[in-house]
Amino acid sequence: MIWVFIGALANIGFILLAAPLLDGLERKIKAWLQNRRGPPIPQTLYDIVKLLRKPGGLTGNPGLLYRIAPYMFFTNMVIAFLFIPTLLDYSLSFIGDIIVVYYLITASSIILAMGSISTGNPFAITGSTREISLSMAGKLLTGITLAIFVAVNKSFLITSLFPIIPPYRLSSILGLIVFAILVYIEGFRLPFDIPEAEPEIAGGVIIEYTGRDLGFAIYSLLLKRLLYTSILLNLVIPRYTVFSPIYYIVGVIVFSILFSTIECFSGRHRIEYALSFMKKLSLATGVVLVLAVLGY
Amino acid sequence: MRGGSMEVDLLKLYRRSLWVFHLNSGSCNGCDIEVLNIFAPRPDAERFGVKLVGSPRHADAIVFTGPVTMEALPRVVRAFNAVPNPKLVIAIGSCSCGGGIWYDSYSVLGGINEFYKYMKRRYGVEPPPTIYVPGCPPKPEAILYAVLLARGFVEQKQYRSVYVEELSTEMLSKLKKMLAGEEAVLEKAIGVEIVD
Repeated sequence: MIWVFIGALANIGFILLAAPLLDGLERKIKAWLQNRRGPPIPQTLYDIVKLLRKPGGLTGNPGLLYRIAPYMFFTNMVIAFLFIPTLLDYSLSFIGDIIVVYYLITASSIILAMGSISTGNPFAITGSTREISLSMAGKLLTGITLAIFVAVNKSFLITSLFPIIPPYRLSSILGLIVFAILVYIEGFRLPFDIPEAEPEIAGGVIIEYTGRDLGFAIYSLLLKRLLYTSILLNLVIPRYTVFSPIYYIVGVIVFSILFSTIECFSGRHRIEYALSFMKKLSLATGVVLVLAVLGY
Repeated sequence: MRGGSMEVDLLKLYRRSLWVFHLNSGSCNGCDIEVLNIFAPRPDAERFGVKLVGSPRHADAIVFTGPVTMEALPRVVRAFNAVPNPKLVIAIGSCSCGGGIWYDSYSVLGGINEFYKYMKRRYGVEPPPTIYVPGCPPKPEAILYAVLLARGFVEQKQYRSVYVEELSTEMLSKLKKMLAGEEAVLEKAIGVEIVD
């Protein structure tokens, strides 16, 4: 029991450190691709430490939801990481935990959007409506994709879903591809960062946050990105071996390099394009789900 | 750097990371183009952890351009107050340093010092630590230097000492020859009696 607790602490400590460092790595790669020298790799960690040391401030008379939203988002993400094996295999596990993880991911988006609507800032409201539209599409897609793996393995237990083992089935391979695209979409990377849209609506959902609150909001968004990458990696890498932490770290770095390279070569779209792309992808994934239920 | 002492805590806080918000108070866009240039590949301010943010609520420092026109004043005040404390101000260009060629024009406030006086009178806001980068427009290198100065990486290059040279008697007689017949004017001007 005590080892499980220590393992969970080690996992959480690792992800809290790894999420900003991976973002720093991505910023470095993007800088290299643009012929710049780029910030040092721990730069995002420095940014977050600075933000956490600054006092959070409030403008006007915002609601309670606005004040607690970044902290709820952060807590949701950390709890979700208890269920997903990251560095170590030790984690919380019970039947139906995939539903809990799905709930935590969905709730965190809604909490952030609701909190930012309560500020009354027009940019924040624009960001919130976009966040809600995109998260409706994205979470539907997440749900369908997770349902494919649930249907293939006939289990609601996360540890039995991971990893995909031979004999490989068509639906699980297709589900894996869709989930890889989904990791890119849900990681608020460039064509899909419409709710934040730094140059366009000045931060969107997180525009009114400052200091400590902003630090937690950004930290949570980075954790969410790592959470999706972790789920994807767990579907691929072998678990319960001595080398699984090494596989995990290498996998996370490889995905960071891959995704930041794709991000560097893409531009921002209007939200309709993102939504129509996700609609088509959801329909295709629905067909894959039917295949999975039929046993292919 | 003037106005409000730079505390050690502030230096420590912004040593590794500084997010700047670009506040244009009616500038001609010359300085604004130079500000954008410091994020271009050659100067690359991001390697020092400087990031241009869109929201004033996220910013640590204000990059201030323009002579504060009356039309822009209400928005400038709102944006200035929206930046949370402790904040820094980097005043870029001749206009924001002292009004530039518009310093006594009817439709401008005349630079950031006049703006600070206005803020003090109207809202009781103390001026934050300010770095002045004169030039029309200043080079991107100068702006980068100011950003690094704000964070204690480099030393200040300006000395606030006034050097007064004593006039010798030879010099005075030379002056007298030059301005023959205008002794009274000269005496009045320099405030000493001229003796041969």
